[in-house]
Amino acid sequence: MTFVPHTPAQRAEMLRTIGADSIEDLLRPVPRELLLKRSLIVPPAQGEVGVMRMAQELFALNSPVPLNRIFAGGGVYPHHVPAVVDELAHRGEFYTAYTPYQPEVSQGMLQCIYEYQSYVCMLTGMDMSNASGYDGGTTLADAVIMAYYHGKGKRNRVLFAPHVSPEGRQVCMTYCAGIDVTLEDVPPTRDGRTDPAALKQLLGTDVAAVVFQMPQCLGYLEENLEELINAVHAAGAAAIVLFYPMAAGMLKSPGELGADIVCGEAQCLGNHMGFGGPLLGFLACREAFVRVLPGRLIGRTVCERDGEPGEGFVMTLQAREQHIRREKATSNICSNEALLALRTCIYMGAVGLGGFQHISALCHANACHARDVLGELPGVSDFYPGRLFFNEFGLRFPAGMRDRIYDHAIERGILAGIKPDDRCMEGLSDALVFAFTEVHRADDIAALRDAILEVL
Amino acid sequence: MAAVNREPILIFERSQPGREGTQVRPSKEKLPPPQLPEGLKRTAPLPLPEVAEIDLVRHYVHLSQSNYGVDTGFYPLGSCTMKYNPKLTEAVSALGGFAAVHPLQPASTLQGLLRMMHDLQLWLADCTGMDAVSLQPAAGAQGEFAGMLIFRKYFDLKNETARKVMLVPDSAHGTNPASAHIAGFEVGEVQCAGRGGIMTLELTEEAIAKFGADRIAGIMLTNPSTLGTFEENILSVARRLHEIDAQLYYDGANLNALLGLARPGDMGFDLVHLNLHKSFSTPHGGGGPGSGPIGVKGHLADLLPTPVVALNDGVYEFESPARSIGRVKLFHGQFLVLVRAWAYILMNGPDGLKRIGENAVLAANYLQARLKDAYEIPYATYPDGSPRYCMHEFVASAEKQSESGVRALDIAKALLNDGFHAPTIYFPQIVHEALMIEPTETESLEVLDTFAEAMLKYARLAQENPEELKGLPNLAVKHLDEVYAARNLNVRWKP
Repeated sequence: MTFVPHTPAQRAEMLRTIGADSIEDLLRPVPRELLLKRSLIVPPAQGEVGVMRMAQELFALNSPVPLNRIFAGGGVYPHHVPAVVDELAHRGEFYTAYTPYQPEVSQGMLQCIYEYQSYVCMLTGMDMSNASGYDGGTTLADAVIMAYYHGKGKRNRVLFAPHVSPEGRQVCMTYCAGIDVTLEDVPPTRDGRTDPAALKQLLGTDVAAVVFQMPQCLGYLEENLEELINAVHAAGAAAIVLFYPMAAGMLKSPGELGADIVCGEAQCLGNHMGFGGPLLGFLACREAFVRVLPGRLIGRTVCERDGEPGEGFVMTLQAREQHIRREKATSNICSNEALLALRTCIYMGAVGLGGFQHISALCHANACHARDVLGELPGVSDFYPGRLFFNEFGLRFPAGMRDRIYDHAIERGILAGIKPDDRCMEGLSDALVFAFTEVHRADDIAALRDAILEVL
Repeated sequence: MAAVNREPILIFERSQPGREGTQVRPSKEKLPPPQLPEGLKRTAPLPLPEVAEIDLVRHYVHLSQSNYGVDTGFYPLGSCTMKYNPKLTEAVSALGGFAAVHPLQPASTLQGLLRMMHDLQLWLADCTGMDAVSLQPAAGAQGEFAGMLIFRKYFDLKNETARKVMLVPDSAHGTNPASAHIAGFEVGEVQCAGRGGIMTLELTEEAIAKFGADRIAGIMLTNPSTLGTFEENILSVARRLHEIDAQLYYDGANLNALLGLARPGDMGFDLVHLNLHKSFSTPHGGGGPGSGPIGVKGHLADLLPTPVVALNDGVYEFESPARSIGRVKLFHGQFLVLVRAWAYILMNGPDGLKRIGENAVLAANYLQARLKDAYEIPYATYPDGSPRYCMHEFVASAEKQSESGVRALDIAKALLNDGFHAPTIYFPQIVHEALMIEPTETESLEVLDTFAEAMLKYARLAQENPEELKGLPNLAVKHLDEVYAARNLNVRWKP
């Protein structure tokens, strides 16, 4: 099956117009020795039936876990995607469109991204948001690089508070290879918080930014984040917060706590997990940082509508971007995650104020209930006793039992959280980190408890 | 298109306090009091809209009707490969077995998904003639950046710290010099324009003399070039650069011309990036998600970004290449985009893939032939005046038309008026009043002819009645003021 509509007669007609004898003739500029003399090594053409069959054959090799039995977070969460989001985002005028370089025929997409930018500002408490980045890891790298350029390259250290996403930090390391920045870690207190004294000691006039994650990557909250951010500002550095936007229904936005740049992963707002991709990185900042903000930016402007003065949307401040700045660009991003930004925009409008507050509250309530239920199990203890969390937390299990619990749960069709040592967090082989959302109900949490109990 | 209001109405402006939207969970559920730190609890309510689902649907349906996609009509953007997005690939990627899977579910329990990725790695390696593939990069530009870091590490490991220069032709897409720069290279521009538009052995020698054999890390080339011309000297250029151990980078944006016909690996390239949202027909989504897998020759395989999918004793595993440049993004890559490319390759098979390259080249040459008398097409002839076939795209110039005041911009707007999407304009910058036209292989002859006739009409109007052409288009929305937008920055709604 192919998608080439030309009949043999039409191909012949086109060749006649060109004045060539054959397609081989058209390939004259290609040196003979480069023309492939064999077919590509891919399976023979399948019809739709064949492709669907092959997909089912792949699924047969997997241990399936239904959405409501996935209790894992770590940046990507098992949220419900409302039907209306899938349906609207799947209109061909949206998903088969290119980047809106011709604004006259792209007002639809441009307005949607403007609305998305507005939602991100609301959730983060920032002045402006870009039109999206690849994911919560690369937007973290973007934020670090923004702080570096904002400091005109004179501040070369970036500090990471305890429990910032290990993958996010790895992406930062990769991205900082091209600039003169070193990444350092602020030591934690015994219960995993940022040690304010240690932070103050590490701060200096050569620190461009301090990165916090809210909630921290194991799910816990830093009560005194605002004070910590004040200390960062006192040293002239920028405060970057990697934020889980679903928490904004219950918690203050990082902007209200003093953050300068807020970034993170917005898959949680209307996007499928998709085994980790595509995802949706959001990046927002205070107005002072706009010149170093990478990515596309949609702005509202004046225009003519049916001959009368009106308003519309365009891509703006393009002089920041790669197609204008070329070898002077600070970011090379071109294609981003526009369709996922559209989906998030639709999601926020679909659930609305009441829905978003309720979903956010459910995520927290389910986690609290689960912690009570699981914390009662024999030999199970809190990862950080006494600490509060939003919808994710850690538990420690009796020595040697963690892996058996995890494997047994999979057999029961349950993903019992995440093993933190799988994410390059050392010395945590007895722990699991669980996440809860609005898809979970009491019976799901009971099933998780039962599966764990069967091993304990 | 639907009726247009003077002022856009934002979703926030349709809000009515107390109105309920989509019921994800019943709103009447009562919950226990939260256990959150007092100082972090939200006090100020979020200014989110309250709209009924019916009004939401009409809002976004209306907006979609003010948008133009491949599903709407012809979209001849050069180097963007706006080909048809098969609906079967959409259906496959929506299957729960792909879409509702958590990325941290252990690989040992998802052998089917890893097998799909491993197969795709092998197929893409064969399509490009490379030895190893990473599916991780999220877009072409991210593939470029990863590639640049790989080159840097390659030389760092050999202690060749002087290798600071990356050669980039003047016709290159903006991401090329940007990627080289952010990876820490100095960009050495090679002026190909006016020298036939492609890389030559002579230009290579000049660059080596100018920058120094020990300072050049490599060159970034698109083949065919952004002018639509095949890099005819690639073998000798590659040989010469390899003599000084410089590395060759292939920007895969124009792979559609070569799919099934020729491979960058056979031309001497050491590293390639692919744009799955171009040659492999995954949808552009209005600006993403894309996917930019990279392929490398053996000597660079252990520098690939982490993770790659390996097959060890019959078990698929994620592995970190021994000297990897590190992670470039979270998790494993744009997985649901990879699924679409996988399905696309399966639907085509080897013969179908070869038909892509053949017909992309045929369609572009057909349009070039139809337009070459009315428009200047600088690279439709060799420097000696003999005719030159283009590959999958060509760059026309509105130079002739600009003599009567009609510019590429006016022609683009006229096309919009006539229901086409305009081609890429003013790129590559080395052609004056450029119109870069790439029809792709999925457009019928009737569509190609309608487009050609419209372009010929504008050429005639430019000669006979330029004011009429400039007076078009009668679009519902026009003259969107970009200067005003930048000076009066308004990038969000405020309550």
